[in-house]
Amino acid sequence: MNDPLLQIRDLSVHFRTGNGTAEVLRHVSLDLARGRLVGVVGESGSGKSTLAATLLRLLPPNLARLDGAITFEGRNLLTLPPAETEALRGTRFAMIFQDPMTALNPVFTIGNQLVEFQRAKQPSASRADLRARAVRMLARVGIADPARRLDDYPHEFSGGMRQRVMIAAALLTEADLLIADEPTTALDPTIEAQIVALMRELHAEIGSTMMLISHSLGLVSQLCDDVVVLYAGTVVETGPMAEIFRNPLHPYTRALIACEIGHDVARGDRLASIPGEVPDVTRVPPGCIFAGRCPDVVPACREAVPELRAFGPDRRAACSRL
Amino acid sequence: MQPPLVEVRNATVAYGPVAAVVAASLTIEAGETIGLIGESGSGKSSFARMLVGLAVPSAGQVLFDGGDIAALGGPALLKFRRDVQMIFQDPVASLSPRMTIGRLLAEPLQIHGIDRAKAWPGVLELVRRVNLPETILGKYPHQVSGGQARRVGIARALVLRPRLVVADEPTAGLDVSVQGDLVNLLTELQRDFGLTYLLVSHNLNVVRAMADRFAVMYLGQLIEVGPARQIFAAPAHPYTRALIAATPRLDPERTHPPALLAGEIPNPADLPPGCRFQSRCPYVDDHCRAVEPPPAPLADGRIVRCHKPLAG
Amino acid sequence: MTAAFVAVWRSPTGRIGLVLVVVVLLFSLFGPLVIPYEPNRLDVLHRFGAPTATHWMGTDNLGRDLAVRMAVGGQIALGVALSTIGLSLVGGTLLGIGAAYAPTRIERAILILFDVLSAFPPLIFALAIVALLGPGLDKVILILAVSMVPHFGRIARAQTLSLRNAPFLDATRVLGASASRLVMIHVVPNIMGPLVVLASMDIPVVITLEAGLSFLGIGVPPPRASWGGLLHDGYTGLTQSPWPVTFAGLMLILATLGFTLFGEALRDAIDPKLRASP
Repeated sequence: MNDPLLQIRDLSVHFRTGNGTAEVLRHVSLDLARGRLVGVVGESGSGKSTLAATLLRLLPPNLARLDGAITFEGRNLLTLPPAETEALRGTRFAMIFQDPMTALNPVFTIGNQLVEFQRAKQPSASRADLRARAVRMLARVGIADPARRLDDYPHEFSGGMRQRVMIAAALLTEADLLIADEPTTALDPTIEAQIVALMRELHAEIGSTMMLISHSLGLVSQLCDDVVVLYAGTVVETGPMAEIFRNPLHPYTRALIACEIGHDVARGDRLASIPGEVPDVTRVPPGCIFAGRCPDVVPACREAVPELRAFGPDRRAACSRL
Repeated sequence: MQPPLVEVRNATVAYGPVAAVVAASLTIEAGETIGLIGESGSGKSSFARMLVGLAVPSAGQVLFDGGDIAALGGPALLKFRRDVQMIFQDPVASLSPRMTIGRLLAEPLQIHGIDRAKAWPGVLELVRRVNLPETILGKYPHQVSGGQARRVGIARALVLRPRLVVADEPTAGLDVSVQGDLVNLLTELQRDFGLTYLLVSHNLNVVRAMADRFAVMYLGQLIEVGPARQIFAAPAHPYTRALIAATPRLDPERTHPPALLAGEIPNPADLPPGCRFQSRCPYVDDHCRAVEPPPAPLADGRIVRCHKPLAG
Repeated sequence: MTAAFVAVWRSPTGRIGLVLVVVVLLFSLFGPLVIPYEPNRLDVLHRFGAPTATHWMGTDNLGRDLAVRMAVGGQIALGVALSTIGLSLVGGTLLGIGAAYAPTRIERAILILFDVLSAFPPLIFALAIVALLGPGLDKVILILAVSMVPHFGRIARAQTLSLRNAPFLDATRVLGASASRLVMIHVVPNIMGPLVVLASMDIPVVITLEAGLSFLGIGVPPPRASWGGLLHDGYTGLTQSPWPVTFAGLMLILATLGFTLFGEALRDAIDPKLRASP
């Protein structure tokens, strides 16, 4: 795991809200290793989408504070001038959104947009060449009759097909890092399975670094090599996927896994849940962020914020009781 | 013999030229939970709306307690409205925005001319029962969280002590850490109030934890109806099998990769003759392309629309 | 609604508007009680008087006190405006909601009625009615109200249509609510915001129209004071005294400016999205 593609160190992101300053991400440190598919798991309010937005520097205007460093090729992305971060988007970093319609312009044909997505990297290539590449990529992501569909508008594609187009667009940029934010949440199960299979296939083939943001542990277990568990803006556990799900260390990870409805559940079975509520990040309590809902909490947990400590070569967890 | 609580007979719901529900038949016995599953555009929401009288079948009938609900009027209609309630998918949007939670909970009493002073303690009891603080009564819908709004919707549906509750995607948008709470609550309420549920969902796992029987919809048709256990153990319709296999499960060993189904759901306005599932079915043959399979009972009592069922 | 008024008070132009409205309102309501003159009592010895300590605004061509006549004119202007807007608000809202829920054929008929009504310029419409029925305050109100109905009706219909499939209406229907309950308790409160804004922005329009009609002599019949009538009388006697025209014009300007600023601030407070639309 030497020479990671991206190093995040002590990243904190605060937003101004009507109720005061919300500490949406606090002291996040993690490495994105080259060629790995990293799953960022968290529930609503965990800050997982803010993490993606910070990498792309697409933060909303109510940003109050941005601390820490994101190192990419020896440069700190957070101190780069806006023009340079903008140049990185679409050439080195690409994003697949939950709703492809937020990224596709409804008034241009898919072909036009796929050509434009490549322009940033290949300003002098001929239009015909870029279109030919687009056709090959559409065929690759499983769109039938791609040469003809190039002249269709986004609304003429179904939801699943649009997400394939988005994946094709992201791949056409040949970005070093692909960020997928809940790419299948809006899709039906049988279509979701198709997209997941496609992403896995493409990742094996291209070997790019990918970050998958998802609330679905099932999806992450099917797709990812590594897992980052976020809770209320804090990384509570990281490590290889199979190890985390087989042997979760942090009480939150354990509780989250227990909430999954297994395939052996039967009618009338009581389902697990995590009692309590996610803490208000405008008033972060002292000590461990999960203390309020943790089944193993002791008074010491409410005093000091636990460090993210190493447990084995690749695993880390932030719990003082381990 | 007592008639079933609900009997849907060959009902079709059409919006313009496209039928959202096509010749669907289903009986619901008092006290059971039916899980209605299907993907978007399958017609499951229209089916649910038809059961509560919000959508009117253009052909066929819906019988409640043996009586056709299309023929109800006056006091009989009001009685039906008390007996059948719905929990809506979007909890905040289903609460009138300019009324306090307290007024919203009192409204069913007002509509049915129930003495508020007498009935109010029961409403407060219900508020506690769904784990809401009493302070919520003075708030407006936009001032409460999504999870709280959902519980308000449940309490409001139960104020009239209905017999049938239709729940449309009751866990949609909930985090997994609170989803279990809601499913447990619905199960307890069913036991305590003797409710019959029609549970509409695209989340197979949630349905599995609650349903006695499954009804699977595809493009407006009920393609498989039967006991949940049998369907999960051995789905008979190829689509049911694909749907079960497609649900990603937490599986670090990756021994159960989601199974794939080719193709996409076709445009319902432009369907070929024959079976509606033909474009995605791995077992399709010429007969399937020519003749639409009718709903037919299997040996074990399941009803399946397939020429070549996989089980039963 | 309280929050909307607070927001109006917070915006600088809204505050000016609110102050102007309140000043005009207080002057019109309490002026006749405070000023020791009868609005219609003639005093031919003091015709065309300039403002003095007793006659704050001077006197008119027949020696009547201008200040008290301005106040009475204000009562009439505000009374006509409020009753006109009230009538057309109620009528337009009912027709609009009706159109939204009615079968297509009736909806189309209502929309054609709106088009026909708004195709008539209100002044020409008023001339025609007065020619048929003769002048009078009640007719002024009726004419202006009818000509404003499409304004409210169209907005009410559009608002109702956008609300028609709202889940909360379905939820209430499932509880067994009657159609009238749905409309009065659940639809009306949720479409009122833009209608109230429109009403407050239409008040200055009605005030000007009423003044115009009275100026032409087909509105409020003399000797009753009205701003339009005062303007007309002052205009005829402009060579003798500039004061009647000045004060009548000033009152009109202050009132319309006040209501316009107030209405715009209210619109921004209730629904910022409306700002772009005409």
